[in-house]
Amino acid sequence: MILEPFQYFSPLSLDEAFEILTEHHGEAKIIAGGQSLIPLMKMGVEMPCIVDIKKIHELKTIELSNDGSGKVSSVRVGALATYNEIERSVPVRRNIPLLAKTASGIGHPLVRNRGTIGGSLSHCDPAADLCATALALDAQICITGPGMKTRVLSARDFFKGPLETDLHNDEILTSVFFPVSNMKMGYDVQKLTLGHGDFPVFIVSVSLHYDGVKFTNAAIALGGVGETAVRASECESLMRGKESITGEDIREVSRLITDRYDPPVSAELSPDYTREMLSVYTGKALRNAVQMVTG
Amino acid sequence: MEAVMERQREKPHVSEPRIDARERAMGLAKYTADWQVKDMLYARIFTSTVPHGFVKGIDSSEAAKTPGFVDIVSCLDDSTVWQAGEREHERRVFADHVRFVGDCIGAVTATTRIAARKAASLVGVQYEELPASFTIESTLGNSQLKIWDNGNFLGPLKFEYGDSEEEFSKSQVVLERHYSTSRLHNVPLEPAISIAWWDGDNLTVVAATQSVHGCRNGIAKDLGLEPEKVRVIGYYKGGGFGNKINSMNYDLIAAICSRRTGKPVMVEYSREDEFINVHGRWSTDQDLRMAADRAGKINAVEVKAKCDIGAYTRHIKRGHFIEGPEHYYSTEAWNAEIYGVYTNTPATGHMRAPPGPQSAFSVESMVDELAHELGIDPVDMRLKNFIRNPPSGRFTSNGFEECIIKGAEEFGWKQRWKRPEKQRNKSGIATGVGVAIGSWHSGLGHGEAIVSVDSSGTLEVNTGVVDIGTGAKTTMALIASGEVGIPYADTRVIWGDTETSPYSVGESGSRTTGFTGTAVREASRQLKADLLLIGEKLHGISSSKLEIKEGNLIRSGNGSVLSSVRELMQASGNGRITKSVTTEPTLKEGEERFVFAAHFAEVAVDLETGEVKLTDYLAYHDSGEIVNRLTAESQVQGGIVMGIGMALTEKLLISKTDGSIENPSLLLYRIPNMTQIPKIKVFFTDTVDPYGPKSLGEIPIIPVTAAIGNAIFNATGVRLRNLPFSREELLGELKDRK
Repeated sequence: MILEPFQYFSPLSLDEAFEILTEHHGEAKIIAGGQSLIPLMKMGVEMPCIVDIKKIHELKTIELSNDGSGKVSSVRVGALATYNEIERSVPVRRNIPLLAKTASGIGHPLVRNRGTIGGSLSHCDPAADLCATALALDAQICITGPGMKTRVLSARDFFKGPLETDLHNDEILTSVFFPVSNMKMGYDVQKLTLGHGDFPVFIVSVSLHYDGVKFTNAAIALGGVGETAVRASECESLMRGKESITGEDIREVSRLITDRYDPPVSAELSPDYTREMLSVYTGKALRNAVQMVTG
Repeated sequence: MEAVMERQREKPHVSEPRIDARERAMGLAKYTADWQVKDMLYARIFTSTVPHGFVKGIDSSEAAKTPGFVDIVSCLDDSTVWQAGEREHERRVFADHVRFVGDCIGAVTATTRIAARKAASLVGVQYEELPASFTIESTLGNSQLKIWDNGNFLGPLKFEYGDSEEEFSKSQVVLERHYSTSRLHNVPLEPAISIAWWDGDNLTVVAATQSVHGCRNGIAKDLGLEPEKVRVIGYYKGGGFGNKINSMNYDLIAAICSRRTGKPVMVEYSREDEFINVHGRWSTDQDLRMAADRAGKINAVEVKAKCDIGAYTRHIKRGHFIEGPEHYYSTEAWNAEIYGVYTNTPATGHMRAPPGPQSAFSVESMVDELAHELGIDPVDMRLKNFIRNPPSGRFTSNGFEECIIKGAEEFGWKQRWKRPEKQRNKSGIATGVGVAIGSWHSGLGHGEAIVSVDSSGTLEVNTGVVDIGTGAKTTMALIASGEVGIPYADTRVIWGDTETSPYSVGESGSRTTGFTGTAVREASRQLKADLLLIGEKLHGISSSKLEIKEGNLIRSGNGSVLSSVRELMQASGNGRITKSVTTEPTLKEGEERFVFAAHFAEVAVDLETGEVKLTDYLAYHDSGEIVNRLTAESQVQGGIVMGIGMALTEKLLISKTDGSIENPSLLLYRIPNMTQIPKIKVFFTDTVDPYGPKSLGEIPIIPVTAAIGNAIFNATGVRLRNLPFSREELLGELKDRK
């Protein structure tokens, strides 16, 4: 039950939304799928003014976007695309399969039907599934402000801290660009949860690119081990440029990750177990990703 | 017996959807929360913030300023005792001696739900705090502690037969093990709710109860009213599993607040309230000893158990906190010593087969350990020992052997079971299978029913059932329809209101079909006899040569249709023929009536993480004649799902610092979800019991935890003895073995 009354706005266009945001400067909170905000309100966090952007249809589109030469360079995912829509989207499945896989594993079907990518990234929970994967995929976040002023920044620069992003309170995250690669891709996402469908304790998102000879790119993003999702750059460099990634390499990387990152403490699992699982899940994700590339 | 069995098998299996499936699915079913009563107020409880103490003062000044505030009532001005709330002691509706964080002190009434909630949060309470205990050990070790004046524990309940000393000393193999089970919650979909209003001295309560008559009698007793002055209505329920049994304190709170304000009052619990203020299952610490000979004959079992029963325990027979397995096996001796230990934690009480699954877990795990020790196939071990008849007397019917043998066949046990040391996988995923058995009471008792047929040929069954999800309404309709010979589609049910329906025992203790169903059957037989006599008069054919099938009077033998029931009724000149029946079946001297089951599980264990996935499950049950396959299968599957939760995911986390529940939400208290539940195959034996259908509601939960634990052992060689099974403990054990 939400005990405190709040103002509710449901703009039909971005212009209208910016007007409301400007008018309630600092007070207004944007809601999309409500999968984080509504539970918070039920827990008693007061939100005096809610701006529901669900009816701004232009934010729902998922489409391929081309570079100058007409080659597909990225997939643009509108902020209001739900996890379910992302999971089913053909352009996403074909070009950014790690994103589709991540979306398909979030929570339960009920959550996936409502939760949106824009909501998840701008809520910026350090362990959120999509934050880790956006980071692993070098996503570019597109932000629009009053007067339709648009700026684009990398996921890495967008995430500032727990529940804190670079978004100003009169701006809206409007879409996310995921660069498309024509390399062979290996990827996986693995997470530790306390129960099936629960929010991750931590999450490991892995993306590998292989040009037929060597691994041209290796991205490992971790969620839940710090203030925001992070890239394990020091581990990535151990793999990047290699012709093959062996079981020993994977064990080495997993060990390194457990040494360097602290998984969170939970009431139900011991720190030792959680730490060991960080290594186990990293190993699983890497093994699966490598297997996809090398067969 | 053979002839009876043959006849039974000829009868087609009935499998009908619930009689109210349509209105439930369409949202037309009116649950208590859907009632809109004119001028209704909302009451919200306020509760203790200390684990143990006396209430010294209550400050309602802030609460009273809340817009919409109407009234406040507390332990300072109302001392009504909720007699059903605690078995051995006096429990007040509003506690002045609070015994756990969350103990109800009073209630605020307001014009809206939100106002009531806000006002209740503003009530200030002053306490004189007392020493408190949150564990069995600290209760038993603290002489200063006074949760109750006359002692902080119940028992020992001693239950024994045979000479167990002798059996242990002469047996070739003796095992000793410790097992534990956790505090759980019933988690019905519909949290507690009640609406009450007064008309002079007459009280009406719309209750989310498992028994309208039990609820009425409890309320009347507690409020000092004649039962006839109390009307309880309960049409649709979102489950209870034992925690909506008879009268609940929230029914009394609604009645008290309504009497004070002169308006109808709704008391509605949130999910959090439900976890904290409505009882769940107690935990157990059990030390077991089991003695057997080398051939696998179990000679004696000794159980010493201490159970954390919280600050209050509902009407559990004194000391029967461990019960059941003495009726699984034919041992020479059994020796049990059981204590219920009070702690300053929320109440415990009925939850589906209250002591059943805790007791089965330890014994059925240990029988598996014994089988392994002796190198015997776990199914063979059960076949060597299962109970054929109770120590003194005989069962009215016993399909136990069939459950074990046929269950093993259907499951493919012989092909799937391998000794744990022969498991191939040492890394990755290991799979294994497990078996466990169980039995449970199947009582007989007082039943009442009114069955009638009207001039249109519609059959009407009127009983006091409430249908908490058991399908009781459907069962009653099918019994009557089958007996009289009028189609199920032309049968309607009247239920759930003490004003209009005769007494029913209520949906608890797996009793409704046995108690009320017997009355429905008898009333239906009498009604059919009357209809046949009308037919005799009308057609001049002896009633012994007539039958009613599909709503038509037919001639036995050639099956020719003589007239419809509707025509019979019109010919008789009666608008309605009604049979009102009371039945009181009793067992013959020496007879005991039980149901039996054998369960089979397969698990896949991730050897890197210790995670357990249940991959297959099969249940074989003897519940005598099955009235309706569809709802019976659902009952079994539902019980098994609750057992899966008990085995793998569910546990109330009790704070070590104040005894409060740390996970009172569905986010943190994890009931299993569909991805964790395999397809559950359900089979029933064709057992015929002379007293009719046997019980079914409770037994399905009983063998589940052990079947899963035994499968984990089979997969990994690791024996887990604490519920719920922990992936962390499993992984630790796996590593230790390496």
